[in-house]
Amino acid sequence: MKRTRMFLPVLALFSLSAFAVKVGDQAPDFTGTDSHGQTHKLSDYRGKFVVLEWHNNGCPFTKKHYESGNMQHLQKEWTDKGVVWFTVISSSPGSQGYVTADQENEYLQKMHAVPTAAILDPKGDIGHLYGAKTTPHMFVINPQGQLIYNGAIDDKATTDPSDVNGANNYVSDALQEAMSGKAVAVATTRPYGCSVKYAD
Amino acid sequence: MGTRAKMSQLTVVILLYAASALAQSSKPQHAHISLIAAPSNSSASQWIGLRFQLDPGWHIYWTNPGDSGEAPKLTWKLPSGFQAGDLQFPAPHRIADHGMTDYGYEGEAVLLSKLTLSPGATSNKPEIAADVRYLVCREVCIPAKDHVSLKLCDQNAGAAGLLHAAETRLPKSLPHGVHARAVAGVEAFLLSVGPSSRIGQITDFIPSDAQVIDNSAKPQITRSGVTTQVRLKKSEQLDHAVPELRGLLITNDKAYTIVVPVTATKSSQKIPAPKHS
Repeated sequence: MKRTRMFLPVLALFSLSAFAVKVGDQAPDFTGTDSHGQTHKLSDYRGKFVVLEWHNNGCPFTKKHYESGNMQHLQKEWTDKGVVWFTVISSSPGSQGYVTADQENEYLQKMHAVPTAAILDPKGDIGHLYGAKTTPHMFVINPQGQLIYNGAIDDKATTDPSDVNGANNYVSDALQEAMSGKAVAVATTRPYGCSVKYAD
Repeated sequence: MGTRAKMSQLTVVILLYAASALAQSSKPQHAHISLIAAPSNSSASQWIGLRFQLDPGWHIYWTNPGDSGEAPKLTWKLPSGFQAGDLQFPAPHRIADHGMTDYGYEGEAVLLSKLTLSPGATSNKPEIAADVRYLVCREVCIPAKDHVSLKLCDQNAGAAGLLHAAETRLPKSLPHGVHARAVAGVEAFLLSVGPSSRIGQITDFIPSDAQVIDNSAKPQITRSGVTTQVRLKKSEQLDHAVPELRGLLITNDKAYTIVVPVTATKSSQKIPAPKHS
């Protein structure tokens, strides 16, 4: 009897992680290769906050945040404060947003984007592991490796660059609150944007 | 330089101009939009339609776009004395998008607005116009801006049929005597609607609010006795109690707007998935 009871919660946990990661859970570990050929293992960054930003350079929702300079500003602001920022590209070859390493480096330079690294995930492994749905879809992980934010970049689900000003940025809020030892008030939101162009 | 050379230069310029005009008109919009109005019986108010004609496979979005996308936005430019009511959307369809579910329209859609003329105001051959921003998607999404206008004296008879069809597709209130209630469980909401005989076969529920219902989990609909039960899986992003469930109840030929207060169950209580017969 005791054995059966022990078994059930394990099953429940397993079925949860099969869907998507939830705030409060340990963020699943991954190893990814960036556009400079360097590998990054998430668990090597314990002790730091980590932001994951799902990206597609052709998606109008992504373009809103890059052409307005908003995303680059966030990357600069938070990496200056010691946050590790990974841009993750899960578009499959031939689909919108897929880039080679060279193309991504050219893009980063042209856009003055300053993530810690841009991780190329053409098979969608990391995307599926996190249940990344849209571009942008944002995740924030605390220094203990727990997920503390999962959702939209801000509260204006539009493609209009003029909406960036005056929007409530959930990622900055989460980082600010967590860094000052507070609980993250808005920890889960509906991510908005284009669908991630996974290989089917 | 001879006349002939000048002529051929001119020809080149005209050709270039024509080519650029052609290029402009054939830019990949994937949607043709226009304003439509029908001859009106009432001088005080009439329906105006914003008509989208979409290329095959392309879609636009409902007010709640679902897992991705964005609804069209419209800014009226009206002569003084005219007011336009809120844009009203017909019931949308589910659209599959890379494992996600969106709510929108393919093919053709007519959004409606009631145009009213203030008492005492007069306007001779008025022209109404609007700036429209919308997102049109197939594999990829393209944001578009358009300016549309219509001289109300140019209204044509063909528009009457389109406007009438659009009006019949607008969601209605529940028929008199039909009641709905909702209970929140741990993983799902259970919506009960009855008597079933007065509403017809319920085929779907489309939520008005984002982040409440899991868009990709098709509602499980069972008829038991006089009531129909609709089990709606909660969204993974739902982290607060929902005071009321808002959305469209779809039957095989109509759509009803419902706003139903939600009763909470004990947190341990689970709402069972219906058995399939």
